[in-house]
Amino acid sequence: MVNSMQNLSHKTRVLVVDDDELSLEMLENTLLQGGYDVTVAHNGREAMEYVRTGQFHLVVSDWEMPEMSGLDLCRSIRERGRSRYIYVILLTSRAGTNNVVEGLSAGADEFLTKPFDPQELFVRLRVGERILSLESRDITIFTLAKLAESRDLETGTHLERMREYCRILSEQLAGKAKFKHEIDGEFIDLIYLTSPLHDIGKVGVPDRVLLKPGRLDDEEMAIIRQHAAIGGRTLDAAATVHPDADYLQMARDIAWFHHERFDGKGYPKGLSGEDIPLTARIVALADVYDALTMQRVYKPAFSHEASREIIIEGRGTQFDPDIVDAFLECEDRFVDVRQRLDSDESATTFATLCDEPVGSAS
Amino acid sequence: MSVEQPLDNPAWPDVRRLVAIDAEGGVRPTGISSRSEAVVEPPIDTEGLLRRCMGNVDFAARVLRRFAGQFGGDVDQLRTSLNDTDAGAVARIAHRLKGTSANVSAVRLQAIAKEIEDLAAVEKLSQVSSRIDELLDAWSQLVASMAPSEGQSAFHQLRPNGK
Repeated sequence: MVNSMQNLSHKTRVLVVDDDELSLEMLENTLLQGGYDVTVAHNGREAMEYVRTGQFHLVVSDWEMPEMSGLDLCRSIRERGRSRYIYVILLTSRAGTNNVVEGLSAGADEFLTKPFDPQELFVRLRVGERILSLESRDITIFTLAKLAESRDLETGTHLERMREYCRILSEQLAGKAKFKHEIDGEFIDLIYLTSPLHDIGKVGVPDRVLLKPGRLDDEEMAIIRQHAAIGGRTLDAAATVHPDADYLQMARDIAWFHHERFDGKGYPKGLSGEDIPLTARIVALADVYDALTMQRVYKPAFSHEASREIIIEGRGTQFDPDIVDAFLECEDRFVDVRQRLDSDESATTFATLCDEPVGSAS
Repeated sequence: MSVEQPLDNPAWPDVRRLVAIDAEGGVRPTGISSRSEAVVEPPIDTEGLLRRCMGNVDFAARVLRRFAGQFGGDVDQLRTSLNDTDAGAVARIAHRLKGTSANVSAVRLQAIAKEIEDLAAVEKLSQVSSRIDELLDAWSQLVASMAPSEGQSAFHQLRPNGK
């Protein structure tokens, strides 16, 4: 399975546009040697034909071209205003603020001075790839979140509370010497984005088990426990194909290991201590806190105080003691989140909440 | 004054004019000493050209041949536009020539093409003709600087089958 997925991995495609054959040939040679998949267009109109195929998201274009200049090409690309973003680098020998403003106004993302320097070209393209990957990331997470939500028996606010708890815990841990090298702003953004995918593997659990109203027998319990490995392996396949997508690795760790216990008695692998990824240890506490404090068909909602005692009891056995300590240091924020989101049952689905940029939901 | 055409000679440009073997046996662009000290300003900045060709000497030679194939046509167009006193066309062609010259690191040609573009931009076409002569003179120097030299170089001996 992984091998066949790896075959899907492909070179980044770049569309190069220049009316001058010599420039075109030099750009093509450079990009081919840089490992890119290159398509050339000899003018803006030909380039637009390629753009309309939807296969090109990185464009390197000369500014000065007859008939349709690089600026006109930028405007045409932006006027389409649909589908995925197209990152445009304009090649120019023009200098000065006015030209930069003119280019940016037309929709160029970046400029490269002619004659181009190969290393500078590669750096600019990597910036473009990075920006496009962020767009892909948000689309991917949104899609997966919709999928997770379809198998979530709770309201949409469960997932919203989960990611808020994870962010609060991460921020608290970031202030500790032990974690300051592992937890930074990007870590916090990513755990906020990916923690709602912790139960994505429930898509692989049959309805007769997932939707069963009564108590689960041993066999059914074994089936439902498979969701961790199902989600983990699915995301691992995606992370293998896209090794640079750190969000997929984090989502995989969370989905796979959020039911592990610090004492090694959890599932699916029975990992213990710090062999369990930090993200999964954080999600484990957030998930249990939410399960305890919210009403379920099989139990009433426990108070914060009662839930707090249960979590303290699990310090060093079920939960990482450092994370329990962090929880106790910021428990007021947990209460605030629960009260705010619990009272907002009119809140829309989680997937709708995903429309908000990271950090705006507070 | 006619445009010198080097493409009749299939051995032009001589790649031995682009790279040399230094005393330690390393391959380096010509015009640069083994201690990276600049010598005289050559018609082509071979280091820049090879960097833009990702170090591929054969590709650099192919690019220079393509440039040589375009150069005469560009000069003819410049002259025609000048005769038509079409400043816009002169500026446009000079701009293109500036760009292609820069791509192959033909530094002198690039500088003259820029002068012509600037003159055309302010419609001082009377001064363009003499610049075209300078352009042709610089071109002749470039052609000569890349002309095949006698004998086999150490560089050629390094290459498989002497190709």
